[in-house]
Amino acid sequence: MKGKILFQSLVLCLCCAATSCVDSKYDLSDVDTDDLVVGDEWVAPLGTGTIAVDDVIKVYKVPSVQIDANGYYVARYQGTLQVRKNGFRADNDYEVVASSTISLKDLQGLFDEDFKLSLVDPHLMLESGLNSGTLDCRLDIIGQPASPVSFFTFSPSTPDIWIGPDASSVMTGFTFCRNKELPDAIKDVPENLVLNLWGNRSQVAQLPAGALSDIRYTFEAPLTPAADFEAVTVEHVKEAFDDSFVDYLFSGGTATIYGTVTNEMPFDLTIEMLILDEFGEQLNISFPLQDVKGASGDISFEITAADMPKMMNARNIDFKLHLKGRETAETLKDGETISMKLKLKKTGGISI
Amino acid sequence: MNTTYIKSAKSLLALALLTFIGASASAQQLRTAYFMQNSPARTALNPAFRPERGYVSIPVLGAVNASYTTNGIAVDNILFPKDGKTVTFMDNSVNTESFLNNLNDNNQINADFGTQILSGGWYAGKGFWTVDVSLKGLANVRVPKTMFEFMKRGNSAEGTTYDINDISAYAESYLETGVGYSRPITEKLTVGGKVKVLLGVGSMDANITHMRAVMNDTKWSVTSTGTMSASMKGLVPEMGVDEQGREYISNFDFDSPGVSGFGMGVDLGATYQLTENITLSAAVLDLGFVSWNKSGNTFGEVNGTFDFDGFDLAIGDHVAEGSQSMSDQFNSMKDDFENLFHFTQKASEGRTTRLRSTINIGGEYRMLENKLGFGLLSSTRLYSPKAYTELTVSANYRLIRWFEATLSYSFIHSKFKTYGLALNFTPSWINFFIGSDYMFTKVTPQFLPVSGNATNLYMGISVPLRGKM
Repeated sequence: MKGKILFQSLVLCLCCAATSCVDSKYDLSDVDTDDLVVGDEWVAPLGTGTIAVDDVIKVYKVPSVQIDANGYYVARYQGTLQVRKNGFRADNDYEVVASSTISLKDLQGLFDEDFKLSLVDPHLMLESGLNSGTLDCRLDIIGQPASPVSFFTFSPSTPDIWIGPDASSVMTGFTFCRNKELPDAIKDVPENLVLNLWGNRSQVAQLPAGALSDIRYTFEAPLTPAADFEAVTVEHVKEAFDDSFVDYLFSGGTATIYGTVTNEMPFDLTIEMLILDEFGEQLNISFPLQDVKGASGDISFEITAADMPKMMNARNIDFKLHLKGRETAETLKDGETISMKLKLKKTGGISI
Repeated sequence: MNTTYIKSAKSLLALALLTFIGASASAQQLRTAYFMQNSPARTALNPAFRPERGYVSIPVLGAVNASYTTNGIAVDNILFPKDGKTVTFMDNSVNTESFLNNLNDNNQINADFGTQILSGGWYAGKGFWTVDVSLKGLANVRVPKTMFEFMKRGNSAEGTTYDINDISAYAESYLETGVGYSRPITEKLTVGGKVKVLLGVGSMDANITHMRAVMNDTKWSVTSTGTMSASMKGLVPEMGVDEQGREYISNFDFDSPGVSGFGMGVDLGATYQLTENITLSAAVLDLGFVSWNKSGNTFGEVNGTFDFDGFDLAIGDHVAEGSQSMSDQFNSMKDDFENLFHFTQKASEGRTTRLRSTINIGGEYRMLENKLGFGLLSSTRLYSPKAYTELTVSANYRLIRWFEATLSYSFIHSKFKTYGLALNFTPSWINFFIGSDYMFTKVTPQFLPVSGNATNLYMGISVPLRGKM
């Protein structure tokens, strides 16, 4: 009897066991954690960066660029037009009485790449010190792409001449001589600006001895970009992506870097973002150019799912800023900045 | 289908052992056994119960039990099969909304284990005496749904706020020495009680009472508050220093364990034979406390804040002096986040914990000359912070004196996926008992129920003594 009961119990246990099954699809000891992510979508502040004016224009490479009393940037070149008693060149009416060459070579370092230095009001100031007699002059300003010419007269009442496109900036004591083409003389940033001062031959001969000594000149180019000003500057964000940062964010899904750019500088911007690897090579991810017109604007760079694998090598960011002048010009001022307040939108979660 | 069937009772026993070792299965009581007259195990469910015969248990194997219960969450709510692999709910392939829909507002997992190191029971006159020495332990973890929402959903640009309350973990173990006595007061009423002296082994209670995360696209702000208490002889906190120079408990060193606290407890019970066929019973188990020694206590609290409004992007050639690299800033941010969970040590003081009590109320109807009985049992175990309640109906079959079988169904946690079964053999020289309130159906290789939210196993071997005088 006992044996029979024990046998029946054993059968009962086996039946119970048979209704049980181990499902290895739920093996706690073999859980795959390769694709763990936190959250479906995250939006977070990414950071704030400020680009100083002396990063946008490389003033530290251009000693001639100075900050005036009002804080404005101005390129200033001063020198002397040495008057020759006997002109070395002459035509029917004029002979060259003085000449000088202004080296603008340092200006070529103002931006990283080729640029069009279209400024609103470059001007040339001549201080002759003429105290008797009269001299009708012609000044050839040989630059690139234009070589404008100005005509004026030195006299005791007009010893100092201001040549430029804009009368409003003329300093007291100078006689304004309008030359609208003067800005074109430096647009291509020539290495030199050559000044040849021609005097009326007959008047030169009649000038009392010592009446016209050396003529001091000052060439000033306030950094006031005109509408057709164009330049490119590249701002580096070194080590923007830490190894683990890359793993967290770029293992899958999509990522969008977006935000607001506040621009105090007198340029409109077109911003190009370049992602670089640790060797400085671009990652071949192209983003649409982002325009920021005026004082502020929004930008957005989406890294698509297809580009995410490339981001695994991301280390540095270059912001390539295409600068363009505005219709309403203002002069670049010390302390102005371009600031970026960037955010990050991540879909597909953060990998852990 | 990659499924392996358990092929023998031996596997079942191995399963029981593994489950016990893993501290992830069955409760400190087997409700299915509540109405089994011959089982010594039932004295643990109601001290007024008296088995047919006295007993002396086999050391350590007198009553081994383990349980795993949840308030609804199951393994297949957390783990998912994917392309032949097992992935967690945090895998990117797991749909957020369908995952969250299967969670409760608060999700609690409880685990108990216990073993009688020594025990015995005998009749003396009308009374029935029991003595036992047992090791008991429990652990529970509670995670609110908002925590899972935080982990799965993320945030939006407009701003998302998570208020996460009461993330808690509790564990406790103690050695129990008890003396029980039951006695009929009248023909119908029997009462019993058990007095227990408790020697605390260890206790830990950690609680993040509130974590608030306010996140939008301009700022992430997270605050956390919480407390931690740990009581164990030889447990020494190791201190770390965060980047702001504050000390926090970074680890625990464990040295020279021993008795960490003392306590008392009682079990009280009664049975009342309402009619010849109907018996009612009730018991309150584990009313008591453990007072933990001050010298072994460690207290901590956390008041963490994490604010992040973005990195300082070092753009251009003229980076401000002292600027941190992005890598350093990122590491600092991670450190700041970890500060949310850094407990600073507080002054040590005495600590008392109450036992997790159980209330059992049952009724049985017997028929066919006591060969067949039907029972209904309500059992509530007072876990913190949530109680665990179960309602069990059982059919008890006593074909012969030395063999008894019970089949049960627990309404609240079985969900028509499982059932209970208990067998008690009492040949003249030994008593062997095995049972479960939630028989394994589909289980993980670690023997946790895949879709069920409770399982337990109870087994014991003892030597029967003589019966009632």
